[in-house]
Amino acid sequence: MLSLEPELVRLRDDGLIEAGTAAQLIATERRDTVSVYPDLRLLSWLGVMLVSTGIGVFISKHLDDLGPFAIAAAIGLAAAACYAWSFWKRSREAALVDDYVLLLGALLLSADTGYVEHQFHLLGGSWPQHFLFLAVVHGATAYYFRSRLVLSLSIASLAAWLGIEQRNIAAIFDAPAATALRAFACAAIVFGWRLIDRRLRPQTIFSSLFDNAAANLAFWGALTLAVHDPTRWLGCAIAIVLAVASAMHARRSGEAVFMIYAWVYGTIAVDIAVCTAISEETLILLYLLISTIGAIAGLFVSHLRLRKAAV
Amino acid sequence: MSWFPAPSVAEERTDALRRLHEKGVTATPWRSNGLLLRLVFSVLTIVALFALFGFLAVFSLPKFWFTAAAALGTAEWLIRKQHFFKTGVESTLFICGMFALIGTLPSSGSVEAILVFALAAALSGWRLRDALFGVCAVMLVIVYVAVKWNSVSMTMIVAALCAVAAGVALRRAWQRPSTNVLFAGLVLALPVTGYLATIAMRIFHTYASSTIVAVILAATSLAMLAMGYVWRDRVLLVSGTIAMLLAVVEVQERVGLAAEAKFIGLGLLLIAVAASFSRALRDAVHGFVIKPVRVSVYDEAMQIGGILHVAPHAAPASAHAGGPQLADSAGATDKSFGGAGAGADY
Repeated sequence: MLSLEPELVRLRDDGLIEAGTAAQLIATERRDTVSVYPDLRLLSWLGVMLVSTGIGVFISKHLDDLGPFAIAAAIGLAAAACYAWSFWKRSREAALVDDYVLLLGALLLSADTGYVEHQFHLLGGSWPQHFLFLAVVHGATAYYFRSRLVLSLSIASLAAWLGIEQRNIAAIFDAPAATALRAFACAAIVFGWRLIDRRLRPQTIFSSLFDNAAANLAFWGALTLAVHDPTRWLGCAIAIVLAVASAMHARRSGEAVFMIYAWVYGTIAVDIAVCTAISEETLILLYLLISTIGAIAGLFVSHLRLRKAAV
Repeated sequence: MSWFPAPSVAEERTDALRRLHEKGVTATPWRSNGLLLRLVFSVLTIVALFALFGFLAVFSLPKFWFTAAAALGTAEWLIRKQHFFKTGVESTLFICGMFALIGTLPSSGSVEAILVFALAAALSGWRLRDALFGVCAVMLVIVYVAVKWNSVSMTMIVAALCAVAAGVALRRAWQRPSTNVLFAGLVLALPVTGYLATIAMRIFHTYASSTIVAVILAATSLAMLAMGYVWRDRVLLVSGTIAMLLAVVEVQERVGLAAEAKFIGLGLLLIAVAASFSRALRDAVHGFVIKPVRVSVYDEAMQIGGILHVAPHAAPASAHAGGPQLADSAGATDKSFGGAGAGADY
């Protein structure tokens, strides 16, 4: 084990740390108090993920056995129970698992809505509208319960409604260039949502989630354009502009992650453009070596400046 | 002056102290980064080294020797002159340089090659005081045991004994935070490594659940939980929980329930356990408590990412074009919308 108690005592005696804070930290170092809060949180999250996975497997395996009404009703009831629990707990003392019961309810609602649409075709050809419904419901739930976890589901539903259907690196290469437009549209909606949220609720806790979602959607849209021949230059140009904007946002807000986005996505865009232009293997390798070293140095210096500015 | 300059004990402890309380604690000259930035720098460094390797290969130069020299030389220069330590750059350069050095050795196809990689990881861990490389070295030794003796029970026993030994070592008061992190990493990683090694050994034959593996995992779990409870050590408790979950996974084949029932049952059990502990400890002010501590952004990112990942996404089989009709609605992928757990996989 490691104990920094001597150093903390010295800081306290030198008056560099408040006595109360020092006492708390020393108690932790001595293990007089050991908080298992993060561990129980993680256990709750794992439990929710397992239950929602199990329900997914259950539905896919028993589509024909139980009948669609029974399955839809059972999942709907379970979701309603989770929401009811969360509503009931809202006015009482908060417990550690509350967030995750709400999350389970939201995931069950998503599953049930998708299942009902799959079975009964309520929306017919307009079936993707159920994603919009989910985006609205999850959004409202997120605001009511102030839950970032549920808000992330709402944004994912919005992206699904707009047709951004895959969430892996390969999607950039598979998707048609026009999918980029959907990503830009989604990023713009999320960004607009963020502005309105900030304006109406100055104490909002959702801004960074909106920022990260909008930035990644926009960058992925730009890179989707950049990997397709007809739109390569346009995509690279948009990615570079976005990278500059991201770096400026990082400098203004002090959030280092946007500086990382700027350098990583920006470097990829410049690399795609340059490698397209030179097309000679040896030169490409030499260029990649130099550009990557440049990106490392640039990100290092930029991050150092951010740190110094924050002090 | 040391032949291998690195943060002293006092400097390591000062850095650890700054992570607890930054105000009033003078920074050391060593430059380090957080986890996310280290990952980014590691990826960028690997890209640069691959480009160098490819460039040398094009000219038929001794690519392993040159890459090793460039990587190790640059890593040492960054440590000695720029005081890089745990930035992600110098550590990746060093480990890749070591692996490039191994590439210069004649290949014999012998199982002992695994030990050479373990040695390289151990040397990197020692030079950079990086617990990750130290843990990787021991994991490779477990893999070596598995490959060499091809015994499921022996592999699991070695992994479990090493994990318990690391758990006991955690009781000792270490001066260097990096040493403490090394043992904590071993405690967490070795039960998983041992179990994965036994799965890899069985997967190529007729896979059958192993009682001995489940018993060893359960015994390891109980030992870890007991030590964690008595010594109030969260790492041991987490390791014990992981080992118990692995034991459950190992025996689940013998339980005559459908897969979905197992998922749901285990999930509900975990939620119930968390809720029970949360309730039992809600008024506790000493010992184990559930006082909210700051949850790191990585924890939150992992959870949100997990939600997005677990949410299935596919179109209903009978789906027709719909949704927002953008100009590209004839595209190959635009009908398979999905997300947020509402797809037809459900």
